[in-house]
Amino acid sequence: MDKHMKLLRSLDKARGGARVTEKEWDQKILPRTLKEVAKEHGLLGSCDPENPVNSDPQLADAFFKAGWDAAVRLGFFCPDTESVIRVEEDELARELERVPSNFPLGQGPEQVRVPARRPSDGVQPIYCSPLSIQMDEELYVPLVQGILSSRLVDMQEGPSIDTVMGSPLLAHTPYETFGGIYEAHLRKEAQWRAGRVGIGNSLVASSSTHFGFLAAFNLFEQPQLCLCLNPASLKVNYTTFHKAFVTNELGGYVRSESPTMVGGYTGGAETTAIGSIATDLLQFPITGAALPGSPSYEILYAGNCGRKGLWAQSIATQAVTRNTSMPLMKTINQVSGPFTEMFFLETIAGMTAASASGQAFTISPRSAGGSVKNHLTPLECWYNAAVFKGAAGMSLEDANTVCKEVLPRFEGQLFDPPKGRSFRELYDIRALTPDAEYLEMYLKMREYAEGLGIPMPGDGVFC
Amino acid sequence: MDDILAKISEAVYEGEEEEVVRLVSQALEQGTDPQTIIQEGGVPALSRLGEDFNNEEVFLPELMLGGDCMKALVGLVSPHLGSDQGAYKGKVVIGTAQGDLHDIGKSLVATQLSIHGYEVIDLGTDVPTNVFLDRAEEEGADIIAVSSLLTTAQYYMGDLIGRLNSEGRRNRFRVVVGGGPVGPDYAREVGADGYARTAHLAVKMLDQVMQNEPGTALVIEA
Ligand code: B12
Repeated sequence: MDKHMKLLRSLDKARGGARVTEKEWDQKILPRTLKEVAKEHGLLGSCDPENPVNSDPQLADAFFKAGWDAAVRLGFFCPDTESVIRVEEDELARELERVPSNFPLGQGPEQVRVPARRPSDGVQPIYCSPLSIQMDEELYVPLVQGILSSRLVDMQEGPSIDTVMGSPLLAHTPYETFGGIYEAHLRKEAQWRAGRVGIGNSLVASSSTHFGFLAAFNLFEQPQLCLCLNPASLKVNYTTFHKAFVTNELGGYVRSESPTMVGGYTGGAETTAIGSIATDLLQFPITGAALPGSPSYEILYAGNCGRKGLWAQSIATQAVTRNTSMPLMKTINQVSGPFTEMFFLETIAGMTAASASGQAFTISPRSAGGSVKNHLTPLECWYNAAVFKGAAGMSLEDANTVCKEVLPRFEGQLFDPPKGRSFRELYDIRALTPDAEYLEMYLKMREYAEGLGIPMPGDGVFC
Repeated sequence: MDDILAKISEAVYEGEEEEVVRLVSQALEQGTDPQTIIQEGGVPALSRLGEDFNNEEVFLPELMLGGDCMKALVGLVSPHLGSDQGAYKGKVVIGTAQGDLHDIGKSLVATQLSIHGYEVIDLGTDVPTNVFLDRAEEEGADIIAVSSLLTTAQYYMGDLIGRLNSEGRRNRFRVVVGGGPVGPDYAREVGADGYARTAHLAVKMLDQVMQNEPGTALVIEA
């Protein structure tokens, strides 16, 4: 009941707040407040693209303070009511004391606990896979079976489908209702085939709106993770509240994600990091999310394995993980696709920075930016998991060195990345074996990562 | 006179709409040629904004405010233009397809188009097909621009063109499409008039699309 009451209070605040148009919020209130806060804390100009992973704890703490101030001054904008949900400073402090520092997902021997981590923490983070990349519906089961056949993967979120038994899965319609149910059955089949019954899920991947969620979240024994994606940082919408009430009642946990973009509404790298911190601090007080995550992309290429994306995301992660005890998630967003060397290099940079900065959980890969259909195979997932887990315990200085080593090898291609090849082109789908050349590239790039000082755990299938 | 044009340019760059309105009115009173106000007051500011955005010196909010200032500027001068001198290259109704909340790419396209001389009506996100059609008709638009980052919302692009065809209205509007999963093949499959991969290329594409009759050819900028 406690959790429901919190949501009710937030809804009341959204209804009672003064009216602010979304345009005013996006173009004036948000960017100007962030800039003001950054100036007051002397943080403008602190982004150092030459050192994409910050290793100065004082700077991370200064960002935390700025993020805190921004959270108190801004609150979350609710587009459905066009008003702001504010959280007073003492309420924020009280709420952050109450965030669970770990929580369980899944059942039986497959159950995992998501742990809060700190920078350079030796505790292994949780790896969930893949993101909601679109696949032909007939590929869903073999792909997921393949991905889950490695124990490096702790949980499942995507992929997603865009047809249901041949009919288009139209967004924001009851096609999604059936899409949610249909995906749930495919998921169970794939998990059974992979011998992973009971594995935790982040749900529902194939539905962009609340239709599919309502149909399918309760088809899984709890606790599961509810996937809430808000329109942007420092915003929350009715769909998230709707999902959160249902999740609370069923005994699941909310993961609430709201991205920031370097170059977008939050401005440059420093103000974007502050916006992400503020968003992550407000998630639990407003939506009760046990797993907040405000990733930072660079607007010019919609990924975050370049210097400013890495810098903004890693400093925001360090700020929160050093100063609170909540588990934090963020996504690492590659733009290149399967069977390209660039994909592995982007992964090394993104996952090393994330793990060393204290991230507790991630969901990946975003192969080919996530927007090219069927461009996803198990090998990218396992590689991401191995780097994310392997880099646990690494110092921030070493993580920075690794990023500096790999960045020059791919950053020139971020704006026009190679999209790679599809699952059908790279795998024998019946036997679930990769093309020999791709397997060789994967194994070679694992060795390369080891050479950089990342002890890569084996995938249990090929190594 | 050059001084006032420079001031207009600065005010557009800074996104100060009230100042733009004041200065443009003043320039018109002084008898400044309306085309000159657009070309030497507004356009240089927007080019600078565009460049600075790509160099990460200004960000999306500044870009959008600049676009709004340009809208205000053109609104003020257009009654003073000769009848053969349209202030705009065309009128665009833009939005994201139903069910799709991804607005960043769409807003960038809308801003780039308004910066580059199009009159843009932004319908926002999650726009049902019928709303696109009704608003385009009401506004007397030349172009319907649909953005979708979701494969599951992309279907509505085909629905929209299908509806125009079945209602015998395909020759009324040029329909252009874009967004992550949308590519040239899809644009061809649904019979669109234009596709562009980025906001920057969208301007180039639309300039060409405006030369064609609706539904007669596909322009691709990929
Ligand atoms: C940010 C983001 C979000 C944010 C959106 C924030 C916002 N306010 O826009 C949030 C978190 C809310 C979100 C939610 C979801 N997302 Co999302 N999201 C993204 C992400 C990471 C970046 C998109 C972006 O803003 N790019 C930056 C802009 C500048 O680029 P752009 O949009 O591509 O636009 C450029 C061009 O495409 C072009 N363009 C765009 N529109 C138009 C229109 C015309 C006419 C023209 C000519 C050109 C053009 O010009 C633009 C500028 O150059 C992408 C992955 C990616 N890397 O692209 C996934 C992605 C688009 N999302 C995806 C998914 C699946 C979802 C969800 C369904 C997840 C879920 N299971 O719930 C929900 C859907 C919510 C909804 N109802 O819409 C998938 C889509 C897959 C697919 N093929 O359908 C992607 C590709 C991620 C993935 N698979 O890994 N998402």
